[in-house]
Amino acid sequence: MNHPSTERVSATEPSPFATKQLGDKIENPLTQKSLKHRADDALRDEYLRAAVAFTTDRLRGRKADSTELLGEWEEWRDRGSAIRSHTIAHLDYYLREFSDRAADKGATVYFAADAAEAQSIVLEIAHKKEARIVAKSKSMVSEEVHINHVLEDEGITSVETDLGEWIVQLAHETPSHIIIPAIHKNRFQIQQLFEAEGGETLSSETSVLAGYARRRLRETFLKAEIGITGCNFAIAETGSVVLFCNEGNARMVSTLPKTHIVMMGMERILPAWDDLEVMANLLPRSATGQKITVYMTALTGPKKKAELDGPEELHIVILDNGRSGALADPEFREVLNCIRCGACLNVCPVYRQVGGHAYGSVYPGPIGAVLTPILQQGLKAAGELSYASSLCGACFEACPVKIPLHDMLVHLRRKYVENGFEPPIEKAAFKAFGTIFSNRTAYEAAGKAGRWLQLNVLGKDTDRSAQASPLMKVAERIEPLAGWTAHRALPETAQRSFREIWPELLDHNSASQSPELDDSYGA
Amino acid sequence: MEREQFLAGLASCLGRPPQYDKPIREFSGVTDRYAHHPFGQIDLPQTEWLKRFVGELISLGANALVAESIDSVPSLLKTIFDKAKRGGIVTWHRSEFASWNIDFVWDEYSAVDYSEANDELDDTALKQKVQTATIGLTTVNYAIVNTGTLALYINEFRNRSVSLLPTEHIALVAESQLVARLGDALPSGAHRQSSSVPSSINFISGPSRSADIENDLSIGVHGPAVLTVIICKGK
Repeated sequence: MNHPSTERVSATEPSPFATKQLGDKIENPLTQKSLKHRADDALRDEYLRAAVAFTTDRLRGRKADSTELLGEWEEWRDRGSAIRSHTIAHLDYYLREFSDRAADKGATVYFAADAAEAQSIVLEIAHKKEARIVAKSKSMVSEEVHINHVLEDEGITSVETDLGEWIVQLAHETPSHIIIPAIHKNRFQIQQLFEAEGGETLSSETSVLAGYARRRLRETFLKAEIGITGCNFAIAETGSVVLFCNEGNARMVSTLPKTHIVMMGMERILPAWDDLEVMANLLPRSATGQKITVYMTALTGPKKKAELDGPEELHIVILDNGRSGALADPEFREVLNCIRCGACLNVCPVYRQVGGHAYGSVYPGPIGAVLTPILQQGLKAAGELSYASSLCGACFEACPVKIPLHDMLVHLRRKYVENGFEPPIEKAAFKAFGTIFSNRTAYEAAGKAGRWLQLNVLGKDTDRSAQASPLMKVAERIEPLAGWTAHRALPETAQRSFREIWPELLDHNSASQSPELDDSYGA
Repeated sequence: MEREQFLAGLASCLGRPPQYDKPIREFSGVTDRYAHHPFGQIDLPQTEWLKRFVGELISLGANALVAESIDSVPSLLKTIFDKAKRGGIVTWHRSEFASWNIDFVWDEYSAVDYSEANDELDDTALKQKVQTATIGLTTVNYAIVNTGTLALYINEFRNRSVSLLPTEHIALVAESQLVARLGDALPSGAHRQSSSVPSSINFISGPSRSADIENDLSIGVHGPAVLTVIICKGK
């Protein structure tokens, strides 16, 4: 069961959130452009913003309908959360049980400490099978370890077969939503990509484009020597792997090629089949509002000898890649409860504005902002993502297994600051804030100075556009003010501070009975 | 890396020694409320299950045909076969349909029994044959009423491809195979204990679908574009 050529350092070194570097060959968007620049790019893309808003509204509405129809949704969430937490608390037991049962059934199980080890396990299988074509169904873990790049570098063609993933692969991009990867592409762009791929003239009709994908990818399924899938849930008691899909490509990939490789995060485990029923109700409803996905396939071992189709070999790669860091930290352990439904993306006011690419990470949205520093990029490169949140808590409300993502985002910000990664200007600002707020005289002086500066130098907020003072126009271009003033006016400070009003408030029985006092609150 | 090293690392992250004894669980699976009321607050009498199942199938975009008795199944099948474009019919092993009295499928419509064809054709030719077939005909193990789902347990007589590769999948369901919810269609405790869980269990709910192009629904992206379920009353 072990993999002798790929021994690595312990998966569980006490280094949660250590900064790990991705391989040189892999482009890491997190280090190429700042979060702010990525967000600016997204905000300028009108199609993207409209498409993301439309899609997330739609998915959110469908989720609401389908959970209402099921009834007792909070009870389901509690149950889902309890099952996941129990599993994670006994993860070593259930992984051992799972791998024993899967091996009994003829599967080969590997444990990979990190992405590099998972890559070399998959490559070794591919070389042994002399594979030239690998057919893949959607798997976030395979995105996480960049398996396509690694296979391509070895001259092996790796084809994404989920329609959205294939579109994204042809465009040399990354998914922008974990459920609908090509949310950012319109039908004309897709037509162009398909025409370039096959040299055929197509139309932009959905049925024509989907028909083309069916025809082309069917050839891939039949030719591929290896199929790679992810794993939605692994059932410990029988060593089974369960795949959810709507198009049927996960079934194709796990039926037609002679070798099937499953890539799973180590937390994908469920203790028993009974628990699958809970997840089968939570996951599709939360993801797309479906009662259940079109296909749910439970695979236990490779095909049996007398069976007529199915893979002859089944390899299961179980990946840590930083997850044990979260396991060791009670503040983040619950993130391992995640069932990858994407519901938190669909309700996030930040994701809604910028879409997935602005995050620059494999996992976008609130779950991505928490997972990314944990999984591979480290706190320094990815901790900034925790600021791409309004901390409104909508992600927690939407989460089918009740992960307190908003709390985790605050913890990440704290760690980010504790490690001294915040920008110098922020550090200086908070230092000044601390000094001023700990001294009454300084506080009052700063308040007055601030108000004078705003009114006399920058102008009132009603002075926007043509009437804005020349200095205001300059201020709009200067960081850090520009981040605010480029899109809106600074709020005008009140004419009198609360401290100044307080004695008068004491003189009146009720502030609301005094029109004079109401006026004094400023505009 | 070596398994025990990997697992010991996880135990240490959890602040305890490795665990070898089965954890005690307060509960597993769905709540008692759902187990006893799988249709929500208002219970659905079993006499209404067929109607509800048909409704769920239709909402999934599947075709649902109800045969009043076993005798009317052949005419329903013939109507579909005659309407379908030429391209052939593939089926599970003929013995799987023994109780359905539909020998005409192979005798008159030259359907290919996948397992018999396997003796004559090599692997690639067989895949080609199934993938060019217009219709794949199967039975089911269970039909789940509250989601409109078919459960197909795979074995040497019931292969995976017949319900996957052809353009249309026709499934024959006996009324007695209707169960209320998913939990009733999962492998039984006995199966799990004796480790005789099938190599593949396919739960199928409607035709293949995708909304990956501008949220526009497309049917039949990879799996069958048409799912037709014939439910035989009283069987």
